[in-house]
Amino acid sequence: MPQLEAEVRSERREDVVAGEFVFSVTFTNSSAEPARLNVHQASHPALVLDVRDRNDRPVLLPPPSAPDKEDLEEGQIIRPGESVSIDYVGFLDRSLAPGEYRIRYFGEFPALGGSKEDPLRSEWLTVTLRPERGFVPGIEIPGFKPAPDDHLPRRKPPWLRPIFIFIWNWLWRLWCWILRLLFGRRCDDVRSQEFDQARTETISNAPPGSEAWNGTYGWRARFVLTLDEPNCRARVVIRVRLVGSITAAQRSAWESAIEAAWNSRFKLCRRSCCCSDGLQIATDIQFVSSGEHQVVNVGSTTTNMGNWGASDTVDVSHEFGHMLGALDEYFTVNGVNWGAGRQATGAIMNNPANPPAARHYDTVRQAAGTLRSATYSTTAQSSSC
Amino acid sequence: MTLAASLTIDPSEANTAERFVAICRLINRGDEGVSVNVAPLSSPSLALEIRDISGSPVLLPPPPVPPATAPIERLDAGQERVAEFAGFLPSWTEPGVYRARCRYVSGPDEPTFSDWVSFRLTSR
Repeated sequence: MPQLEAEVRSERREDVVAGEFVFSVTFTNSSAEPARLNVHQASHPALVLDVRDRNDRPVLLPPPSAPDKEDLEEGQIIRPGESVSIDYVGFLDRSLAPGEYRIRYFGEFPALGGSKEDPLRSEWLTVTLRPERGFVPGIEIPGFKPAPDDHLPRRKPPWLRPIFIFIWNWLWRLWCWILRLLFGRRCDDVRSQEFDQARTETISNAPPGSEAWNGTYGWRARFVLTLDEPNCRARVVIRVRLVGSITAAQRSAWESAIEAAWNSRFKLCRRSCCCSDGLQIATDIQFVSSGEHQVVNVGSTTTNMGNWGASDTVDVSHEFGHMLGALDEYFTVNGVNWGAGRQATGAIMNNPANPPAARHYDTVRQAAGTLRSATYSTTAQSSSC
Repeated sequence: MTLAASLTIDPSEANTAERFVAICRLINRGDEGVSVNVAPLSSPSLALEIRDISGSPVLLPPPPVPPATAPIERLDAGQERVAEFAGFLPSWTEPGVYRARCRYVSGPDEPTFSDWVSFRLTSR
Protein backbone atom coordinates (compact mmCIF):
# COMPACT_ATOMS: atom_id res chain seq x y z
CA MET A 1 0.00 0.00 0.00
CA PRO A 2 1.59 3.36 -1.00
CA GLN A 3 2.31 5.85 1.76
CA LEU A 4 0.47 8.56 -0.10
CA GLU A 5 -3.22 8.78 -0.85
CA ALA A 6 -4.39 10.54 -3.99
CA GLU A 7 -7.74 12.26 -3.96
CA VAL A 8 -9.16 13.78 -7.15
CA ARG A 9 -11.64 16.56 -7.63
CA SER A 10 -12.89 18.92 -10.27
CA GLU A 11 -14.98 22.05 -9.96
CA ARG A 12 -16.99 21.10 -13.00
CA ARG A 13 -17.84 17.61 -14.22
CA GLU A 14 -20.80 18.18 -16.54
CA ASP A 15 -20.87 20.05 -19.85
CA VAL A 16 -17.11 20.46 -19.72
CA VAL A 17 -15.07 22.10 -22.52
CA ALA A 18 -12.25 19.64 -23.26
CA GLY A 19 -9.44 22.18 -23.65
CA GLU A 20 -10.41 24.07 -20.50
CA PHE A 21 -10.98 21.18 -18.12
CA VAL A 22 -9.23 21.45 -14.73
CA PHE A 23 -8.51 18.34 -12.70
CA SER A 24 -6.93 18.52 -9.24
CA VAL A 25 -5.17 15.81 -7.28
CA THR A 26 -4.38 16.15 -3.58
CA PHE A 27 -1.69 13.84 -2.22
CA THR A 28 -1.81 13.18 1.50
CA ASN A 29 0.74 11.26 3.48
CA SER A 30 -1.46 8.97 5.54
CA SER A 31 1.42 6.96 6.96
CA ALA A 32 3.59 7.55 10.02
CA GLU A 33 6.78 7.95 7.95
CA PRO A 34 7.82 10.79 5.61
CA ALA A 35 7.04 10.05 1.95
CA ARG A 36 8.53 11.33 -1.28
CA LEU A 37 6.79 12.69 -4.37
CA ASN A 38 8.43 14.40 -7.31
CA VAL A 39 5.77 17.08 -7.76
CA HIS A 40 7.51 18.41 -10.86
CA GLN A 41 7.44 15.05 -12.60
CA ALA A 42 3.92 14.31 -11.35
CA SER A 43 2.74 17.53 -13.01
CA HIS A 44 3.06 15.98 -16.49
CA PRO A 45 -0.48 14.76 -17.27
CA ALA A 46 0.74 12.15 -19.77
CA LEU A 47 2.86 10.46 -17.10
CA VAL A 48 0.26 10.12 -14.40
CA LEU A 49 -3.27 10.54 -15.69
CA ASP A 50 -5.21 7.55 -16.87
CA VAL A 51 -8.05 8.72 -19.12
CA ARG A 52 -10.64 6.31 -20.51
CA ASP A 53 -13.59 6.83 -22.79
CA ARG A 54 -17.01 5.38 -22.09
CA ASN A 55 -15.95 2.07 -23.66
CA ASP A 56 -12.97 1.90 -21.31
CA ARG A 57 -10.57 2.55 -24.14
CA PRO A 58 -7.49 4.57 -23.13
CA VAL A 59 -7.45 8.16 -24.37
CA LEU A 60 -3.91 9.01 -25.39
CA LEU A 61 -2.55 12.29 -24.09
CA PRO A 62 0.10 14.39 -25.85
CA PRO A 63 3.63 13.28 -24.93
CA PRO A 64 5.31 14.93 -21.94
CA SER A 65 8.11 17.42 -22.41
CA ALA A 66 11.68 16.13 -22.32
CA PRO A 67 12.74 15.50 -18.70
CA ASP A 68 14.57 18.39 -17.10
CA LYS A 69 16.77 18.51 -14.00
CA GLU A 70 13.86 18.74 -11.59
CA ASP A 71 12.13 15.77 -13.22
CA LEU A 72 15.14 13.62 -12.43
CA GLU A 73 15.49 14.61 -8.79
CA GLU A 74 14.24 12.49 -5.92
CA GLY A 75 11.33 14.76 -5.22
CA GLN A 76 10.08 16.56 -2.18
CA ILE A 77 9.42 15.07 1.24
CA ILE A 78 5.84 15.03 2.44
CA ARG A 79 5.66 14.63 6.20
CA PRO A 80 3.01 12.46 7.88
CA GLY A 81 -0.37 14.18 7.69
CA GLU A 82 0.86 16.78 5.16
CA SER A 83 -0.76 17.31 1.77
CA VAL A 84 0.25 18.72 -1.57
CA SER A 85 -2.01 19.45 -4.55
CA ILE A 86 -1.42 19.53 -8.29
CA ASP A 87 -3.81 21.08 -10.82
CA TYR A 88 -3.88 19.64 -14.34
CA VAL A 89 -5.28 22.16 -16.80
CA GLY A 90 -6.22 21.74 -20.45
CA PHE A 91 -4.76 18.27 -20.90
CA LEU A 92 -7.85 16.96 -22.71
CA ASP A 93 -7.61 17.64 -26.42
CA ARG A 94 -10.32 19.79 -27.95
CA SER A 95 -10.82 17.23 -30.70
CA LEU A 96 -12.13 14.63 -28.24
CA ALA A 97 -15.63 13.47 -29.09
CA PRO A 98 -18.32 14.71 -26.70
CA GLY A 99 -19.43 12.19 -24.11
CA GLU A 100 -18.44 10.60 -20.85
CA TYR A 101 -14.81 10.06 -19.83
CA ARG A 102 -13.18 8.71 -16.66
CA ILE A 103 -9.94 10.07 -15.27
CA ARG A 104 -7.74 8.95 -12.41
CA TYR A 105 -4.27 9.50 -11.08
CA PHE A 106 -2.01 6.50 -11.68
CA GLY A 107 1.61 6.65 -10.53
CA GLU A 108 3.61 3.48 -10.94
CA PHE A 109 7.07 4.78 -10.14
CA PRO A 110 8.56 5.78 -6.75
CA ALA A 111 8.95 9.39 -7.90
CA LEU A 112 5.23 9.41 -8.64
CA GLY A 113 4.20 7.91 -5.30
CA GLY A 114 3.85 4.25 -6.23
CA SER A 115 5.59 1.30 -7.83
CA LYS A 116 4.92 -1.17 -10.64
CA GLU A 117 3.65 -3.72 -8.15
CA ASP A 118 1.78 -1.25 -5.99
CA PRO A 119 0.85 1.85 -7.99
CA LEU A 120 -0.57 4.94 -6.35
CA ARG A 121 -4.04 5.29 -7.82
CA SER A 122 -6.96 7.52 -7.07
CA GLU A 123 -10.64 6.84 -7.52
CA TRP A 124 -12.03 7.45 -10.99
CA LEU A 125 -13.62 10.82 -11.66
CA THR A 126 -16.24 10.90 -14.40
CA VAL A 127 -16.67 13.99 -16.60
CA THR A 128 -18.94 14.71 -19.52
CA LEU A 129 -17.48 16.68 -22.40
CA ARG A 130 -19.83 18.90 -24.29
CA PRO A 131 -19.96 19.20 -28.09
CA GLU A 132 -17.70 21.91 -29.42
CA ARG A 133 -19.46 25.19 -30.01
CA GLY A 134 -18.53 28.23 -32.00
CA PHE A 135 -17.89 28.89 -35.65
CA VAL A 136 -17.10 26.10 -38.08
CA PRO A 137 -13.52 26.53 -39.39
CA GLY A 138 -13.41 28.01 -42.88
CA ILE A 139 -16.85 29.61 -42.68
CA GLU A 140 -16.83 33.39 -42.96
CA ILE A 141 -18.01 35.04 -39.76
CA PRO A 142 -20.78 37.48 -40.70
CA GLY A 143 -20.08 41.09 -39.81
CA PHE A 144 -16.47 40.41 -38.85
CA LYS A 145 -14.36 43.25 -40.22
CA PRO A 146 -10.65 43.89 -39.82
CA ALA A 147 -9.69 46.37 -37.14
CA PRO A 148 -8.87 49.88 -38.42
CA ASP A 149 -5.21 49.50 -37.51
CA ASP A 150 -4.82 46.16 -39.31
CA HIS A 151 -2.06 46.32 -41.88
CA LEU A 152 -3.41 45.94 -45.42
CA PRO A 153 -0.63 45.22 -47.93
CA ARG A 154 -0.66 47.43 -50.97
CA ARG A 155 -1.44 45.39 -54.09
CA LYS A 156 1.18 45.32 -56.79
CA PRO A 157 0.08 45.98 -60.38
CA PRO A 158 -1.04 42.62 -61.85
CA TRP A 159 1.19 42.95 -64.96
CA LEU A 160 4.34 42.98 -62.80
CA ARG A 161 4.03 39.33 -61.80
CA PRO A 162 4.43 37.67 -65.27
CA ILE A 163 7.38 39.97 -66.02
CA PHE A 164 9.01 39.04 -62.74
CA ILE A 165 8.45 35.29 -63.39
CA PHE A 166 9.85 35.62 -66.93
CA ILE A 167 13.03 37.34 -65.72
CA TRP A 168 13.42 34.93 -62.82
CA ASN A 169 13.11 31.90 -65.14
CA TRP A 170 15.76 33.28 -67.47
CA LEU A 171 18.11 33.94 -64.60
CA TRP A 172 17.51 30.40 -63.35
CA ARG A 173 18.25 28.88 -66.77
CA LEU A 174 21.43 30.92 -66.96
CA TRP A 175 22.48 29.60 -63.55
CA CYS A 176 21.80 26.00 -64.62
CA TRP A 177 23.76 26.57 -67.82
CA ILE A 178 26.70 27.87 -65.79
CA LEU A 179 26.52 24.85 -63.50
CA ARG A 180 26.51 22.46 -66.45
CA LEU A 181 29.17 24.09 -68.59
CA LEU A 182 31.55 25.49 -66.04
CA PHE A 183 31.13 23.09 -63.14
CA GLY A 184 30.21 19.92 -65.06
CA ARG A 185 26.97 19.34 -63.14
CA ARG A 186 25.14 16.42 -64.75
CA CYS A 187 21.65 15.11 -64.08
CA ASP A 188 22.75 11.60 -63.27
CA ASP A 189 22.21 11.43 -59.53
CA VAL A 190 20.38 8.34 -58.24
CA ARG A 191 19.95 7.94 -54.52
CA SER A 192 17.97 5.49 -52.40
CA GLN A 193 17.08 5.14 -48.78
CA GLU A 194 14.97 2.87 -46.60
CA PHE A 195 12.25 4.64 -44.63
CA ASP A 196 10.39 3.35 -41.61
CA GLN A 197 7.92 5.69 -39.98
CA ALA A 198 5.45 4.95 -37.18
CA ARG A 199 1.95 6.13 -38.00
CA THR A 200 -1.04 6.44 -35.69
CA GLU A 201 -4.55 7.68 -36.14
CA THR A 202 -7.54 8.05 -33.86
CA ILE A 203 -10.96 7.48 -35.32
CA SER A 204 -13.88 9.05 -33.47
CA ASN A 205 -17.48 10.08 -34.08
CA ALA A 206 -18.33 6.83 -35.84
CA PRO A 207 -22.09 6.76 -36.47
CA PRO A 208 -24.47 4.21 -34.91
CA GLY A 209 -23.69 0.73 -36.20
CA SER A 210 -20.02 1.57 -36.72
CA GLU A 211 -19.05 2.44 -33.11
CA ALA A 212 -16.49 -0.35 -33.20
CA TRP A 213 -14.38 1.82 -35.53
CA ASN A 214 -13.78 4.39 -32.76
CA GLY A 215 -10.28 3.88 -31.43
CA THR A 216 -6.59 4.47 -31.93
CA TYR A 217 -4.68 2.49 -34.51
CA GLY A 218 -1.00 2.23 -35.25
CA TRP A 219 1.22 0.85 -37.97
CA ARG A 220 4.55 1.38 -39.68
CA ALA A 221 5.00 2.89 -43.14
CA ARG A 222 8.05 1.20 -44.59
CA PHE A 223 9.46 1.52 -48.07
CA VAL A 224 12.61 2.15 -50.04
CA LEU A 225 12.55 5.41 -51.96
CA THR A 226 14.75 6.00 -54.98
CA LEU A 227 15.10 9.46 -56.47
CA ASP A 228 16.22 8.81 -60.02
CA GLU A 229 17.36 11.96 -61.87
CA PRO A 230 18.18 10.32 -65.24
CA ASN A 231 14.59 9.07 -65.49
CA CYS A 232 12.97 11.91 -63.52
CA ARG A 233 11.27 9.40 -61.30
CA ALA A 234 10.61 8.90 -57.58
CA ARG A 235 10.24 5.16 -57.14
CA VAL A 236 8.67 3.74 -53.99
CA VAL A 237 9.22 0.03 -53.50
CA ILE A 238 7.34 -1.89 -50.83
CA ARG A 239 8.43 -5.49 -50.37
CA VAL A 240 5.61 -7.69 -49.12
CA ARG A 241 5.91 -11.23 -47.82
CA LEU A 242 2.69 -13.18 -48.19
CA VAL A 243 1.50 -15.76 -45.68
CA GLY A 244 -1.21 -18.12 -46.91
CA SER A 245 -2.47 -19.44 -50.22
CA ILE A 246 -2.86 -17.28 -53.28
CA THR A 247 -2.64 -18.00 -56.99
CA ALA A 248 -0.21 -16.22 -59.29
CA ALA A 249 -3.19 -14.67 -61.10
CA GLN A 250 -4.62 -13.25 -57.86
CA ARG A 251 -1.26 -11.85 -56.85
CA SER A 252 -0.85 -10.29 -60.26
CA ALA A 253 -4.35 -8.78 -59.97
CA TRP A 254 -3.38 -7.17 -56.65
CA GLU A 255 -0.24 -5.72 -58.20
CA SER A 256 -2.08 -4.37 -61.24
CA ALA A 257 -4.86 -2.83 -59.15
CA ILE A 258 -2.46 -1.18 -56.70
CA GLU A 259 -0.07 0.18 -59.26
CA ALA A 260 -2.94 1.43 -61.44
CA ALA A 261 -4.39 3.23 -58.45
CA TRP A 262 -1.18 4.86 -57.22
CA ASN A 263 1.08 5.34 -60.28
CA SER A 264 1.32 8.09 -62.89
CA ARG A 265 -0.94 10.44 -60.95
CA PHE A 266 1.37 12.81 -59.11
CA LYS A 267 4.91 14.09 -59.22
CA LEU A 268 7.28 15.66 -56.73
CA CYS A 269 8.32 19.18 -57.61
CA ARG A 270 11.11 21.49 -56.47
CA ARG A 271 13.14 24.15 -58.21
CA SER A 272 16.06 22.29 -59.68
CA CYS A 273 18.25 22.36 -62.78
CA CYS A 274 17.52 18.65 -63.22
CA CYS A 275 14.00 17.28 -63.75
CA SER A 276 12.56 20.79 -63.76
CA ASP A 277 9.13 19.31 -64.45
CA GLY A 278 9.30 17.07 -61.41
CA LEU A 279 9.89 13.45 -60.48
CA GLN A 280 7.01 11.19 -61.43
CA ILE A 281 5.93 9.08 -58.43
CA ALA A 282 5.90 5.38 -59.25
CA THR A 283 5.03 2.74 -56.67
CA ASP A 284 6.10 -0.85 -56.95
CA ILE A 285 4.78 -3.66 -54.76
CA GLN A 286 7.16 -6.59 -54.80
CA PHE A 287 6.33 -10.00 -53.37
CA VAL A 288 9.32 -11.49 -51.61
CA SER A 289 10.12 -14.44 -49.40
CA SER A 290 12.43 -12.53 -47.05
CA GLY A 291 13.65 -9.01 -46.36
CA GLU A 292 10.08 -7.72 -46.35
CA HIS A 293 8.78 -4.30 -45.36
CA GLN A 294 5.36 -5.74 -44.55
CA VAL A 295 3.77 -9.13 -43.94
CA VAL A 296 0.35 -9.68 -45.48
CA ASN A 297 -1.79 -12.64 -44.46
CA VAL A 298 -3.96 -13.91 -47.29
CA GLY A 299 -7.58 -14.59 -46.38
CA SER A 300 -11.03 -14.45 -47.88
CA THR A 301 -11.61 -10.72 -47.24
CA THR A 302 -9.50 -7.66 -46.61
CA THR A 303 -9.68 -6.86 -42.91
CA ASN A 304 -6.76 -4.42 -42.43
CA MET A 305 -3.32 -3.49 -43.76
CA GLY A 306 -1.89 -6.87 -42.81
CA ASN A 307 -4.76 -9.10 -43.92
CA TRP A 308 -5.90 -9.03 -47.54
CA GLY A 309 -8.60 -10.91 -49.38
CA ALA A 310 -7.19 -13.10 -52.15
CA SER A 311 -9.86 -12.02 -54.65
CA ASP A 312 -10.11 -8.41 -53.56
CA THR A 313 -8.73 -5.80 -55.95
CA VAL A 314 -10.39 -2.71 -54.47
CA ASP A 315 -9.79 -2.48 -50.72
CA VAL A 316 -6.20 -3.70 -51.11
CA SER A 317 -5.33 -0.43 -52.86
CA HIS A 318 -6.62 1.46 -49.83
CA GLU A 319 -4.53 -0.72 -47.51
CA PHE A 320 -1.50 -0.08 -49.71
CA GLY A 321 -2.15 3.61 -49.00
CA HIS A 322 -1.59 2.91 -45.30
CA MET A 323 1.70 1.23 -46.21
CA LEU A 324 2.67 4.51 -47.90
CA GLY A 325 1.75 6.34 -44.69
CA ALA A 326 -1.68 7.69 -45.64
CA LEU A 327 -4.35 8.07 -42.97
CA ASP A 328 -7.99 7.07 -43.23
CA GLU A 329 -10.49 9.67 -44.35
CA TYR A 330 -13.84 8.63 -42.95
CA PHE A 331 -15.66 9.59 -39.73
CA THR A 332 -13.35 11.86 -37.68
CA VAL A 333 -9.66 11.05 -37.95
CA ASN A 334 -7.18 12.90 -35.74
CA GLY A 335 -9.79 15.60 -35.28
CA VAL A 336 -10.63 16.06 -38.98
CA ASN A 337 -14.22 15.28 -39.88
CA TRP A 338 -14.43 13.47 -43.23
CA GLY A 339 -18.01 12.23 -43.08
CA ALA A 340 -19.14 8.75 -44.06
CA GLY A 341 -16.89 6.18 -45.69
CA ARG A 342 -17.18 5.18 -49.36
CA GLN A 343 -18.53 8.52 -50.55
CA ALA A 344 -18.93 8.72 -54.34
CA THR A 345 -16.45 11.62 -54.52
CA GLY A 346 -14.15 10.48 -51.70
CA ALA A 347 -10.49 9.86 -52.46
CA ILE A 348 -8.98 6.39 -52.02
CA MET A 349 -8.57 6.67 -48.24
CA ASN A 350 -12.32 7.32 -48.01
CA ASN A 351 -13.54 5.29 -50.97
CA PRO A 352 -11.10 2.54 -52.01
CA ALA A 353 -12.62 2.46 -55.51
CA ASN A 354 -11.41 5.99 -56.26
CA PRO A 355 -7.94 7.40 -56.99
CA PRO A 356 -5.66 8.97 -54.36
CA ALA A 357 -5.15 12.66 -53.61
CA ALA A 358 -1.84 14.52 -53.40
CA ARG A 359 -1.90 14.48 -49.59
CA HIS A 360 -1.77 10.68 -49.60
CA TYR A 361 1.83 10.87 -50.82
CA ASP A 362 2.86 13.18 -47.96
CA THR A 363 5.06 10.58 -46.26
CA VAL A 364 6.77 9.90 -49.60
CA ARG A 365 7.17 13.64 -50.21
CA GLN A 366 8.71 14.12 -46.77
CA ALA A 367 10.99 11.13 -47.30
CA ALA A 368 12.15 12.65 -50.60
CA GLY A 369 12.84 15.91 -48.80
CA THR A 370 14.95 14.06 -46.24
CA LEU A 371 16.80 12.15 -48.93
CA ARG A 372 17.63 15.29 -50.92
CA SER A 373 17.69 17.84 -48.06
CA ALA A 374 15.15 19.85 -50.01
CA THR A 375 11.50 20.79 -49.89
CA TYR A 376 9.19 19.12 -52.37
CA SER A 377 5.59 19.77 -53.27
CA THR A 378 3.20 17.24 -54.79
CA THR A 379 1.58 18.21 -58.09
CA ALA A 380 -0.81 16.37 -60.41
CA GLN A 381 1.02 14.60 -63.23
CA SER A 382 -0.89 16.61 -65.84
CA SER A 383 0.12 20.00 -64.34
CA SER A 384 3.49 21.63 -64.66
CA CYS A 385 5.66 22.05 -61.61
CA MET B 1 -26.74 -9.19 -21.60
CA THR B 2 -27.56 -12.24 -23.69
CA LEU B 3 -24.37 -12.09 -25.73
CA ALA B 4 -21.12 -13.50 -24.42
CA ALA B 5 -17.69 -13.59 -26.03
CA SER B 6 -14.82 -16.01 -25.75
CA LEU B 7 -11.36 -16.02 -27.24
CA THR B 8 -8.76 -18.65 -27.97
CA ILE B 9 -5.27 -17.98 -29.29
CA ASP B 10 -3.31 -20.71 -30.91
CA PRO B 11 -0.45 -21.35 -30.37
CA SER B 12 0.12 -19.73 -26.98
CA GLU B 13 3.78 -19.26 -27.84
CA ALA B 14 5.48 -18.71 -31.20
CA ASN B 15 8.60 -17.09 -32.59
CA THR B 16 6.91 -15.17 -35.42
CA ALA B 17 3.90 -12.89 -35.10
CA GLU B 18 2.19 -14.34 -38.16
CA ARG B 19 1.80 -17.78 -36.53
CA PHE B 20 -0.77 -16.66 -34.00
CA VAL B 21 -4.40 -17.28 -34.83
CA ALA B 22 -7.15 -15.74 -32.69
CA ILE B 23 -10.62 -17.24 -32.68
CA CYS B 24 -13.31 -15.03 -31.26
CA ARG B 25 -16.73 -16.51 -30.54
CA LEU B 26 -19.85 -14.45 -29.97
CA ILE B 27 -22.48 -16.61 -28.31
CA ASN B 28 -26.15 -15.93 -27.74
CA ARG B 29 -26.72 -17.16 -24.20
CA GLY B 30 -30.30 -15.91 -24.10
CA ASP B 31 -33.52 -17.84 -24.68
CA GLU B 32 -34.43 -15.95 -27.82
CA GLY B 33 -32.77 -15.17 -31.12
CA VAL B 34 -31.11 -11.79 -31.57
CA SER B 35 -29.97 -9.78 -34.59
CA VAL B 36 -26.30 -8.89 -34.46
CA ASN B 37 -24.23 -6.48 -36.52
CA VAL B 38 -21.29 -8.61 -37.62
CA ALA B 39 -19.20 -5.68 -38.92
CA PRO B 40 -17.42 -5.31 -35.54
CA LEU B 41 -16.24 -8.91 -35.94
CA SER B 42 -14.96 -8.35 -39.47
CA SER B 43 -11.46 -7.18 -38.60
CA PRO B 44 -8.93 -8.01 -35.88
CA SER B 45 -8.48 -4.24 -35.52
CA LEU B 46 -12.10 -3.98 -34.40
CA ALA B 47 -12.59 -7.20 -32.49
CA LEU B 48 -9.32 -7.63 -30.61
CA GLU B 49 -7.82 -5.64 -27.79
CA ILE B 50 -4.19 -6.43 -27.06
CA ARG B 51 -2.01 -5.28 -24.18
CA ASP B 52 1.63 -5.78 -23.43
CA ILE B 53 2.96 -6.92 -20.08
CA SER B 54 2.87 -3.38 -18.66
CA GLY B 55 -0.76 -2.99 -19.67
CA SER B 56 -0.08 -0.61 -22.56
CA PRO B 57 -2.27 -1.15 -25.59
CA VAL B 58 -0.71 -2.73 -28.66
CA LEU B 59 -2.08 -0.73 -31.58
CA LEU B 60 -3.29 -2.65 -34.61
CA PRO B 61 -3.44 -1.22 -38.15
CA PRO B 62 -6.67 0.58 -39.03
CA PRO B 63 -9.69 -1.52 -39.99
CA PRO B 64 -11.03 -1.41 -43.55
CA VAL B 65 -13.47 1.29 -44.64
CA PRO B 66 -16.83 0.27 -43.13
CA PRO B 67 -19.55 -1.03 -45.42
CA ALA B 68 -22.31 1.38 -46.42
CA THR B 69 -24.89 -0.73 -44.63
CA ALA B 70 -24.21 -2.76 -41.52
CA PRO B 71 -24.27 -6.53 -42.16
CA ILE B 72 -26.87 -7.97 -39.79
CA GLU B 73 -27.08 -11.66 -38.96
CA ARG B 74 -29.56 -13.63 -36.91
CA LEU B 75 -28.13 -15.47 -33.95
CA ASP B 76 -30.58 -17.99 -32.54
CA ALA B 77 -30.58 -18.96 -28.87
CA GLY B 78 -27.44 -20.94 -28.06
CA GLN B 79 -25.93 -20.21 -31.48
CA GLU B 80 -22.51 -18.65 -31.94
CA ARG B 81 -20.75 -16.54 -34.56
CA VAL B 82 -17.09 -17.39 -34.98
CA ALA B 83 -14.51 -14.94 -36.29
CA GLU B 84 -11.04 -16.24 -37.04
CA PHE B 85 -8.09 -13.87 -37.28
CA ALA B 86 -4.97 -15.49 -38.65
CA GLY B 87 -1.83 -13.41 -38.25
CA PHE B 88 -3.61 -10.76 -36.21
CA LEU B 89 -0.43 -9.63 -34.47
CA PRO B 90 1.50 -6.99 -36.46
CA SER B 91 4.82 -8.17 -37.82
CA TRP B 92 6.70 -5.33 -36.06
CA THR B 93 5.61 -6.47 -32.59
CA GLU B 94 8.52 -6.89 -30.20
CA PRO B 95 9.03 -10.26 -28.47
CA GLY B 96 7.30 -10.48 -25.12
CA VAL B 97 4.24 -11.62 -23.23
CA TYR B 98 0.94 -10.17 -24.35
CA ARG B 99 -2.70 -10.62 -23.46
CA ALA B 100 -5.67 -10.18 -25.70
CA ARG B 101 -9.40 -10.20 -25.38
CA CYS B 102 -12.21 -10.25 -27.87
CA ARG B 103 -14.55 -7.29 -27.83
CA TYR B 104 -17.85 -6.86 -29.53
CA VAL B 105 -18.85 -3.21 -29.83
CA SER B 106 -22.24 -2.63 -31.31
CA GLY B 107 -24.25 0.42 -30.38
CA PRO B 108 -23.74 2.77 -27.45
CA ASP B 109 -24.10 0.02 -24.83
CA GLU B 110 -21.15 -1.41 -22.96
CA PRO B 111 -19.14 -3.72 -25.23
CA THR B 112 -19.15 -7.45 -24.71
CA PHE B 113 -15.70 -8.65 -23.70
CA SER B 114 -14.17 -12.09 -23.46
CA ASP B 115 -11.71 -13.00 -20.74
CA TRP B 116 -8.09 -12.05 -21.31
CA VAL B 117 -5.90 -14.70 -22.94
CA SER B 118 -2.12 -14.58 -22.64
CA PHE B 119 0.36 -15.51 -25.35
CA ARG B 120 4.09 -15.13 -25.81
CA LEU B 121 6.05 -13.97 -28.82
CA THR B 122 9.57 -15.25 -28.47
CA SER B 123 12.57 -13.95 -30.35
CA ARG B 124 13.55 -15.86 -33.48
